[in-house]
Order: sequence, then C-alpha cells, then structure tokens
Amino acid sequence: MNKKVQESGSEQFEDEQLGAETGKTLQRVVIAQSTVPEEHIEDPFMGNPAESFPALGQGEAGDAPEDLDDHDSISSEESTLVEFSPMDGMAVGDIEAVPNYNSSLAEARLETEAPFDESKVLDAWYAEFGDPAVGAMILKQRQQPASESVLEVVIGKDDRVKINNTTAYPWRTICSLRITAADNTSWIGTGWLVGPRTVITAGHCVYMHSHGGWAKKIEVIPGRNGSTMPYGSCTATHFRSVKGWTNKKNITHDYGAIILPSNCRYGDRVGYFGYANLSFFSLLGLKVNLAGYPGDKPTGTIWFDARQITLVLARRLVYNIDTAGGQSGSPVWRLKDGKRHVVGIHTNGASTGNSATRITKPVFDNIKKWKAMGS
Amino acid sequence: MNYDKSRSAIKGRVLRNGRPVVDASVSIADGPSHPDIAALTGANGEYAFNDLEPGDYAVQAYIEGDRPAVKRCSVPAGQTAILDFS
Repeated sequence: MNKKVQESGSEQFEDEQLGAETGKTLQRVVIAQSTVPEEHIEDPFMGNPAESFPALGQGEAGDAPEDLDDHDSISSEESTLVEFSPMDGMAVGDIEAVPNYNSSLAEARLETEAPFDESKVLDAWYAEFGDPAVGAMILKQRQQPASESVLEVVIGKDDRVKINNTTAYPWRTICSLRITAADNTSWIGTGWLVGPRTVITAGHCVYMHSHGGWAKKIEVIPGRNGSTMPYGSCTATHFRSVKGWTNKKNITHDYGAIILPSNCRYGDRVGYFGYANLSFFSLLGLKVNLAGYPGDKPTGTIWFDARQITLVLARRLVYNIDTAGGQSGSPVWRLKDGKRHVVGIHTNGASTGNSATRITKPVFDNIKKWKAMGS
Repeated sequence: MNYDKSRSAIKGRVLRNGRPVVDASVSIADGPSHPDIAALTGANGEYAFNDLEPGDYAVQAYIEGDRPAVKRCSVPAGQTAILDFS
C-alpha cells in the first residue's frame, strides 16, 4: 500500500470552506494514511466590482519517489528554476447556494453511491499508478478491435445547473478560456483568478504535448455568460507550469498558470479565490464545489455541481461531480465560514470518477509564486 | 503514472448537411481518464484527441443551438478511431 502519503499531512491555506463523511470504500485508504495535520491557507479577495477598470489589453504516485524537480516552475518564455517555500480540523464544507440547484439532492446522492464492490476496489492500483484511469484500465484488461457505434448513449443523470448571475462572487472570478495551441488548433478550458493578474488552470490548458507544447495564446473571459462578457476579455501569451508536466507529462503535475498582461488586472476588480493545502483528513469526504465552462452546453455558459470527495490520493482528488470537456482547470473549492478556498484543479474526466490535481505543498507554493508574478 | 504508454487517438469531422462545421465543440463524455478539455473544430470541421488511454469512449459534439450528439467507440492501444458527426 502507498507509504508515500506523508507529504499530504502538511496543509496550507491562502484565503476561503470543509465537509467530511467517511464511506465504506474510503476506510481502506484511511488505514494507509498516517498524517500529521498541518494546513496552509491563503484567503480570497472578493474584489471591487464598482471600481473602474483600466483598458483591456490584448494580448501521488504510489511508492515511487518523487523528483522534487518535477514541481520546478517553468514558463512559456524561458526555463526557470523556482525555489519552494509553505490548519486543521474535520472535513466540513458547504455547498454553494445556487438558484435551481438542489443541494439536498447532492446530499442524497452521497447516500446513494454505488454499493461497495470488493472487485472494484482500486486503491492499491491508485496507490501504485496514481491515476484511477489506470486502475480501471487494468481491471478491464480488454483488447477490443477499433470500432465505431452510431448509437447514441445515455451518459447518466446530469446534475449541473447553469449559473445565471455570473457577475456575483465567486462566479465572476471563474474564467472561460479559448485556447489557441501551437499547432493552431482551438480548445475550450476554464481557469480561476488567484490574484490580480494570475489565472490558475490545468497544465494541459497551457502546455499541450500533442499540439506543439506551450499554447500560442489564450483568451481569458472572467464571468462570461454566453455572448455577454461583463469584464471584457484579455489575450495572454505568458504561461507557467512545472517540469513534471511539461517534461514528464505526469498527471499528478497537471497544473499551470496564465499571467495576464499588465493592463489586465482582473483580480483587482472581480476578486479572486483563496487556496489551501489541506490534510488528508480534512479532504476525505469533504463537500466541494466545482464550476466551469463546459463544451456540451451553450457556448460560454458556466455550470455548477457539488459533491463529496470520494478518494484522496497523495496528489490527486477523485469525485463524482458532473463535468464535461471544457471544464479542465475549474476550481474545486471548499466553502467554509463564508470563505472559499480552492483545494483542487479539475483536470480529468473518467467513468471511474472525475479528478483534480490536489493542492499539495509544492502546488501551493507554486501558486503563491505565480500569484506574486501577477501582482 | 504518466501518459507515455501505448497511446490511442480519436479523430473525425463535424458536418451539417454535408458541410464542415467550424467551432463545434467536441469533448469526451465518458471513458477512461482523459483531460477534460473540449476541442473546437477547425476550418474543415476536424478535431482530434491524441494521447488517450486505450478503451471505450463516448464522444459528444455540440453545435450551438442543437442537442449534443453522442457516439461511442472502442480504441485499442496504439490505434486511432475515426468518429464523424454528420
């Protein structure tokens, strides 16, 4: 079993909430954890929407030892070495009060999760490979011929609800991304403001290995609501990620940042999220919120869902919150005592559970560093 | 774990009345773990998802104003599935 979970015992915050219920399937993970709660938090800023805005610019992977260099920050302009530098309690979180969203349904869903199935316990696989998809793939062990079916499929009940008041906090801090890759292909993603000019997103939104590497440009649109862009948009060309992603393509290092142009200080006006490196026990069963800009809904609309974290890995968080392509980079946040702290960066969809890059100490430190770059 | 295994791919085109649709949003709706990013189709209606785990996938294409169309495919290791929406 995974012995390398000590790292998750350290917690950090930089501004914003918690939930905890331990399910049957989670017990065997708990056994493997022997963490010393230590958390770090950086708090959020709710912004000052009334302020005039300047002209817009254009612009855990098992027992395998981790290479600390993997979290070295790297920019789209140059390769730079970045040095690292970093609360406590039960997992207790709230679900955002969203019109038309039945939070009690979310609660009910927690109790109607699929029953424990020993044959599908993947924690050992997760521990070894770090990614639920790998475990699922191994379980399947199927070799099927390439085939295409024209049948439509029912993916399952979609509990996402549309956010209409996108100029309210925290929705206005969540950004629609239109990404132009180095090979000129176009993509949809999501990001969230963490400072005046810093937008955090998935590593694969800023650095696309199979599409030429660093993105050519990304249009960032905070609070977008369809064709309405209440704060305009900015095009950025400066990006950050870490070597574990850019050089090694490691899913546990799939995170990055967009540094907005100097005349595009969105965070000053709309505010930004806090973020936190929480302990394993603070995360296990925590109710978290997730909102982003999916590609299966009307263009440029933001959709929300919430649910408990079902699995906490050394560097990943797994949950059954509904998402779709385009929500990569979305914030996964805890709402507690009215404060919102992002604890994960949504990156992957999977039939076995959607997942996020967990904000661990090195991730926290890099976010802090990137935030400073855009201050 | 990283993505450097025998990778698979899904690609195709989105057409309406036989003509390519530009900026249709194509995403993976279900399957093995995959980046949750959506592709916007190019000038010829084309899209491509590379670097995928082999397995069974559901892919959906969304054209503004329409219901998303969903199709399934199975992609073995190292192979590419062609999935057109028309």
